[in-house]
Amino acid sequence: MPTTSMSHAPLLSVRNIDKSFGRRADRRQVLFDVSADVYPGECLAVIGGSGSGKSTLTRIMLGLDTADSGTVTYAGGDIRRESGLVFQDPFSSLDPRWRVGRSVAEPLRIQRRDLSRDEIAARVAAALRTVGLDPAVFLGRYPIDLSGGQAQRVAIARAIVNEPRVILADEPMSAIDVAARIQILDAFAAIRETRRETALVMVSHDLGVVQHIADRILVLHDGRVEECGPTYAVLGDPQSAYTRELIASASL
Amino acid sequence: MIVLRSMWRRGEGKFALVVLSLWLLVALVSLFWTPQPLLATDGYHVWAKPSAAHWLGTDGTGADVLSWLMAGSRTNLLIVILTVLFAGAFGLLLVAAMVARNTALAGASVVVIDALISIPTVLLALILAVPLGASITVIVVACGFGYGLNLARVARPAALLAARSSYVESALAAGASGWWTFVRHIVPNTLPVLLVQLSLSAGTAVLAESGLTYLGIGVPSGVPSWGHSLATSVKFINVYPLTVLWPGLIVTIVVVALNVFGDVLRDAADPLSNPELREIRD
Repeated sequence: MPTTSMSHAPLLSVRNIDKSFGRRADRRQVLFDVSADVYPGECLAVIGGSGSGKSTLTRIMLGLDTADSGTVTYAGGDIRRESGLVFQDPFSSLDPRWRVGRSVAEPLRIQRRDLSRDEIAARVAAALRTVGLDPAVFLGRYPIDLSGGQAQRVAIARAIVNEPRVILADEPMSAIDVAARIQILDAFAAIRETRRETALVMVSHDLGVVQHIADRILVLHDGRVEECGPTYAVLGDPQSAYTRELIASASL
Repeated sequence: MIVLRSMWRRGEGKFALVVLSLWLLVALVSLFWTPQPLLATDGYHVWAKPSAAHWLGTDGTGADVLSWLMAGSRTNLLIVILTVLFAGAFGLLLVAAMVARNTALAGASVVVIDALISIPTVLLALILAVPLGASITVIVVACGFGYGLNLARVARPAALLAARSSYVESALAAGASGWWTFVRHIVPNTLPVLLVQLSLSAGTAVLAESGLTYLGIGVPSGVPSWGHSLATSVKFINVYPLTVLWPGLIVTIVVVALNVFGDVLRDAADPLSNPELREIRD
């Protein structure tokens, strides 16, 4: 179980979020009055079944989507420049016609015009090493020549290259074969080891993964917060019937 | 270099490269030299059969057919290059509008393109010829406009796929502008379609030059072009078939070469289909 130095002021907090999609007759509300906090250095896992609003909530947190009502507060500058994204399918999240080195360098080339070519190269190499990929081998490769686990680690390297304060990983392991998942977990563990202030928000439905990496768990059910608390408490002594159901179905 | 080598390795690639290189070479040579001066006519040898003096024979004014075809290759090259540039620029502009994140602009551009695409190229050329007269501009603008619309329509699915992809989303999330993602992600990932479509446009431009020049609204009379050579001899095809055969043959071969060129270039220039491009380089 990872330990963390959780400070009291949240890095990111959302309050009373409502969100609907569609128009008129098709209108469907996916989030109801959701509130949550993310603290510096912690790993918050957002769990729940399909359609529970996990992804929508995290997208709103990072400003990729807007809420219908409610507030998002970020205790920093521009969250878009201080966050990194990891998607479910690594192959669709890397440009198939870009070499790995170029993909990983992209956030820096967008945000840090002040960095020289060499400085960018050094940071790209460092990010790849952090996720356990040898820059000499992988910098020049195309995604088509990577395995799923390697591609996802490249995506993670891209998410951390600009030293973000918060990383959002949306089901980062569900498209990866089981044998390679440990590499992804190791990559996240390495990031948390080297960058202790970086918060990690991970959407997942894999309780095994969550138990391994998360400090706190937020359980969403049909767009409402079912419960939220430390990992050991939520998994060890779930307060809601839905959470118990989730845990029971995971241990089948 | 790798791209050229990969193209050369394929039989049809060799064919396209040889034909197009020859075209380029002949166009260059014709700037300085043709077997006979273009305006040298010989009233005693009209419609002459091929001979040592006139390799491909002479036309109805006794002018050397080969010289006119060589000089014509220059005009056709110019028309093809200008048309492809026009169609490419116009088409990309339309693609940019269609994949815009501004949904109103994207929706409107699709409707506008569908409406404009119904205007026949010939009709547009006829309208343009009213103020412009017979000129290369008529061919380039009419064809470029029509081919640009086609290009945009055909490229839209590939461009949309890239525009909605997670890699574009992640670039946008990092603060990239829409322009950044268009130039760096969307266009390169649409390039295979663009290359094929542009090479088809190039081939069709050669055909359109012949057609429009035959109608009298293309290349002005007196300016050498393949269409001009065809137009001046086609009426006599029953009597002097050879003079029609040469320009017809050249147009056919060049059009086929252009179409093949696009196909082969797409395969050779795309790192996803050409593993050689994916090899690690320094």
